[in-house]
Amino acid sequence: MKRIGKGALALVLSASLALVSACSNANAPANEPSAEAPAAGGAKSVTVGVTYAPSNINPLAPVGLVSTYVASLLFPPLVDLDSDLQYKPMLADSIETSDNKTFTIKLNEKAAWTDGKPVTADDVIFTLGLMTNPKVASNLAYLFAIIEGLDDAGFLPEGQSAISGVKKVDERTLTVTVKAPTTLSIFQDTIGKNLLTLPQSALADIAPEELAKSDFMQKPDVTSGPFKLAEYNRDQFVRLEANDAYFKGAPKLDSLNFKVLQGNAVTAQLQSGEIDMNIPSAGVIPVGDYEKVKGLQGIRTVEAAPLATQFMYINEAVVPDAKQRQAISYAMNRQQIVDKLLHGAGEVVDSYFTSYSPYRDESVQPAAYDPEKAKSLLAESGWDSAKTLRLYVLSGDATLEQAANIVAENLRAAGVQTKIQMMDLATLIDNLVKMDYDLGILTVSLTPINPLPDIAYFLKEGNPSGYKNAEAEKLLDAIAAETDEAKIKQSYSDLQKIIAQDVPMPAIYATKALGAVSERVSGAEPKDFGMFINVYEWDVK
Amino acid sequence: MLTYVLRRLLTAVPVLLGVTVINFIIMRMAPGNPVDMLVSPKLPAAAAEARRLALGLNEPAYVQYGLWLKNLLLHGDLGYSLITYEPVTRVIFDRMGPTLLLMGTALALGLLVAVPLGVLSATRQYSKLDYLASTGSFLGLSVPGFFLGLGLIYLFAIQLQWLPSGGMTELGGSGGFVDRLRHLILPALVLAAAVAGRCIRYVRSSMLEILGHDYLRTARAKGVRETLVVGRHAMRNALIPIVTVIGLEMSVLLGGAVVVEQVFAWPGIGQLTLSSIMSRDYSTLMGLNLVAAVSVIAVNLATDFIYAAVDPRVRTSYEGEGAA
Repeated sequence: MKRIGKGALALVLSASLALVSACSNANAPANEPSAEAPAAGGAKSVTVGVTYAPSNINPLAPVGLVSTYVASLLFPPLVDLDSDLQYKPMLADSIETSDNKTFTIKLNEKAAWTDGKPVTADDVIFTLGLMTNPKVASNLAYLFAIIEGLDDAGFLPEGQSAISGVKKVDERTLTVTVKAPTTLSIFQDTIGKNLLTLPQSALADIAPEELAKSDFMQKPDVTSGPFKLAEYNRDQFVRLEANDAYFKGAPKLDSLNFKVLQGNAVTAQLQSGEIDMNIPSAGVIPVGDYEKVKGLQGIRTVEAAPLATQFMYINEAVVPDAKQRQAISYAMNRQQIVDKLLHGAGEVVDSYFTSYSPYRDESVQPAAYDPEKAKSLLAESGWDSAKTLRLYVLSGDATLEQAANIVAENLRAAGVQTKIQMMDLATLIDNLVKMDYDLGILTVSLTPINPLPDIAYFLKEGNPSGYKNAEAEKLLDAIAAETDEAKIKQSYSDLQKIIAQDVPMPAIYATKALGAVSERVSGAEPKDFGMFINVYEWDVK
Repeated sequence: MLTYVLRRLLTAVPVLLGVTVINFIIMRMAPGNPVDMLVSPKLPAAAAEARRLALGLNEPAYVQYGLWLKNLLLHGDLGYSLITYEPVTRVIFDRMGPTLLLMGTALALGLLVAVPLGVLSATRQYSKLDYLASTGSFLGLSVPGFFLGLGLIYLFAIQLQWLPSGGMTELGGSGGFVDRLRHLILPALVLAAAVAGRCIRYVRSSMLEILGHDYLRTARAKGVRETLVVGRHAMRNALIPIVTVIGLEMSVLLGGAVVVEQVFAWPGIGQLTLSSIMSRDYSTLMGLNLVAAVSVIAVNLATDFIYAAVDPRVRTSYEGEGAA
């Protein structure tokens, strides 16, 4: 077994897994007590399959998608983004502003902690204090940098005890003042979505630097969300129990479970009834299983919006001429990847904006597959076709690995020689950040509402491509300072035209993840945004 | 004997120290670091710096190692996971149980099959049973664990739906003995198949060698019954080398458990090791490596003692050393 290469191993593994899941039959999952019959005592329970472990449930510094989902069920955010890209009230009944400078947050009157105390403006202010405390070292603090009184990284400068931009109005109301005028949607997308309010009474005695290690953060026992934490085993499962005092209404379910699965097990466990549903982008069903899952009896499937996008990072120290980068973009047969590899469950995209983004400019079409044009562009720019570029690819995603092979073949046909090297995420990021690479393929999901932080990172100084364009930087600054949505849209449009010319890091394709849910569950819809907003209304037949 | 034990224990100290130093260096040389995995590179440098400071990663490497060693020696403390902030000792302790349960069951099951089969196939060399056992042992040896595991999942979890496909307990279930047993059967079978495959061959060849010895012919000539010849006289001596094999088997089992735990989502050390490597969780990895090194040394030591206990010749040689 030692001699089998990693790739071959993965191939055999996925082949045999495909075999496991391919063999369907009419066996009703009747022998599976967890799924068909409710558990002992007639308890109603739903199990959600996820392919990423909830590594922690610390709302101040969640690690990964699933951690955030679980933390948000225990500590609801002020508002939450729904799949229609509208913000829905959660802990906050409303967030309003009249001047785009001061935002008034009104908390839900019924919101209470599980120990009976009300959730107050003081709790919110206390949590803001923790979030922006450098000793807590939250990885979300930068989102709060827009608040007056905080530094550029979102931390409270040393020697100050309170954030000057945050004021309590009454028990359930507070105002937050920002440094420069900003839109309501950006305020909601940063602070509204990411501040998960914690109970001051339970945490006041814990030193900020000890917080992450505290028993509370390992297993929170005073919460305010629709579900309470019952059992947590970070690489295995999370079991949540209904909080009957939830401010939007007592959940109809008795318990909600997250079960951590290895990639291909999602299909098998949907079939066996061990899980009831998945989260499209966090409980990933492999593309090869789509048809099979769609055919499962008693399972309804939903195609999620295109979100996860594969980007080709290009090191400009190696590929300095825009014509050469255009050539790389023209050489890639994106349509073939989407049609043949994804079987249509994706879309062709060549910049930061998928069709899900409200800022996509339809007049800027993705670069078409044109190998002849690629060749002539390369010839014009004097590309040395004897040069071999290192192409680093994220390992672990079979579809991406195959797509990388197609891309490498496309590039070779156009006259760019590459040598593929697979690496794990930590190694790949390290190489990209240090710019020790020629070409790299990595998956990035940009938030549809406010893509600015990501795009600014990709285009401004210190970006991993070594790209520089003064005009693009000016547009980015203008977007950051603008509060008029129409003007923001126009600037993003202009930016897309520049990107099409300069091709700093072309996208290759975006995948449409597949959501699946058992028909025994009612009220639940698998989706990447807002799936749990109405979780208290979910029920089982 | 006591001097021998003391000497063995003392030599273990520099070995362990060396293992931790080498692990520390290799881990730091590996590309990537935990801060990159926690803090997106798009964040301002101050955010990464704050996290580095909070994790103590801003200190020079030798200071970090010194601190780690000091905490270990003075407080028995292996620090906190850089990712989850759980105490490393607790994480490892929690995961050790399931892995030991899995390994122990597999070892017991494997030996229960291997010893009788090995002995029988040696006494009936070139019989049908012998061929069957040899073929079976080859199969057990050569079928990769993950493949056998997936096959069993397909058969028993998906087709027949008799047993769960993974995990250690039913979600929201009682987590009682029967529940655990149901979850344990498949992964233990996969590991046991490999153990049995290897051990049958050792037992068989060891038995064959012994069976040719003169003292057995003497015993037979004296009219001792054949079952007694094999059972008491031959087997006792034949199994002595097997003790060593079992000792070696432990580290192989641990390696096999890593794969099997992945396939069956068994919450053990193997799963923890892989996820810690992926997230570059230095402190958890240091703890895991230390535990692995300690167990290998401990098992070796235990093997030697058992060896001495069952074989008087070995015992005498230790005593000779002690006296010298």
